[in-house]
Amino acid sequence: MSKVNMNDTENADLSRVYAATARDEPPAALDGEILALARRAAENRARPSFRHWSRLVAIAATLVVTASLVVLMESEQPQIAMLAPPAGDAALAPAAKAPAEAVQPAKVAPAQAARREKKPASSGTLDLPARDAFFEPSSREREPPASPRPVLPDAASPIASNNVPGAALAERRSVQATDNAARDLLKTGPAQKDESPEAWLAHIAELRKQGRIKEAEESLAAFRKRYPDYPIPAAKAPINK
Amino acid sequence: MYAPQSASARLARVNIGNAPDEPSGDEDLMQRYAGGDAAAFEQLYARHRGGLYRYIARQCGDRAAAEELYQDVWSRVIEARARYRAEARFATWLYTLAHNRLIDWYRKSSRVVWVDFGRDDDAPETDIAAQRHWQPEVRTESRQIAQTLLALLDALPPPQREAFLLHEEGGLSVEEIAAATGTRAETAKSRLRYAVAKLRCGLQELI
Repeated sequence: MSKVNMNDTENADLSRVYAATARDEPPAALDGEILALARRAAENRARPSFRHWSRLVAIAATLVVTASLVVLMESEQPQIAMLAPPAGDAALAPAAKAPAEAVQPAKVAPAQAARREKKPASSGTLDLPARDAFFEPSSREREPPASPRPVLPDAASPIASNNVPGAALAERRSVQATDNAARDLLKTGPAQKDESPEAWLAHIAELRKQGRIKEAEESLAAFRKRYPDYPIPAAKAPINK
Repeated sequence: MYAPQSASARLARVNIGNAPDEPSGDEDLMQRYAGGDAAAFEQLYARHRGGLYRYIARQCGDRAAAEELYQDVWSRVIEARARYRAEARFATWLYTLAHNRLIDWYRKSSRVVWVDFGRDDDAPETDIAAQRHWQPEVRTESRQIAQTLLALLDALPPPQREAFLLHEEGGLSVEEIAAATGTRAETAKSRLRYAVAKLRCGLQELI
């Protein structure tokens, strides 16, 4: 920087005189106003701004909505599980999924079928076809598998016979079943019900043999409703065996 | 709160120009204040309050206006804290703000804008001699010396007075005076030299 090219002694005298002369200072009130203004500004700087708070609120709201959706999904899962095969067949559910889906494509929309193809294999107990039924429910898929509806005589119509959950369940189980005789019987059971009371009773007896007591009882109840005059002891014999 | 700078400190700045003993923490204080440290501003304010006030007061010649301008300059410092960059000395930046604010005030108050008074920069030594009519009778009392100095200072052309005040009150070097006033370094140096010469000439028989 350039130096002021002046005589040092002269400058010293002049600066000394000026320093002794120039004593004016701002009023104390003015100092107070300025310092107060500076402090307020510093506090505003240190305090989080509205933008900062609004950002935090937005993040919190997003988390709350996300958590609510997760909780809602979790609460809906039991209903989905109810659409899956019975608990007794839980071990069979993953393996039975493929055959079940093999039966389904003819019943579902093409778009839904395409979506299923993209889905990864599920490792949990949640049955994916049942999940599809949750998102795009159809009257057929909503029906519990143990519904007594298929044993009604009116179910002989083509639509009813195709929609019988027992038949779908039988399709799934047929892959896992090792008893060929029981499989054949289950496959042809509904047809036998329609053919003769004896065949129906034989089917019920076979269910009892396999330990499927609940289904046997439901089928028997339907049988009684369908054939109220048929001699019950003959039908009871295989059940109570 | 305010500790006036000693005459020796002022002298050092005058002699060496670059002010090595100038408080080196002004820029740091300003940046700390920009980060929310109000105490840093108080230190900064204490360092510059008197010099800035006298610079403004002597340049505008109106006490009420000087206080208004003084407060306005500090308000601008506070407002600009987030944009402040330590690319130059804080004092240079502060007095540049004050200079610009003074120019605005001159324009608004319909006073002559004296920034480009090139004639004053080339004033011959005979002008200095002509200033002797300001000189009162020779007295040794310091009060009279002070009054004479202030009278001589008021009689200086505004650019020269400004250069002198920036040098004495702000501790600015010639280059910094040039930067603060928007002139060349040679012009600033010339103004400062003429100002000192005129003041010395007026006080010659008193000190």
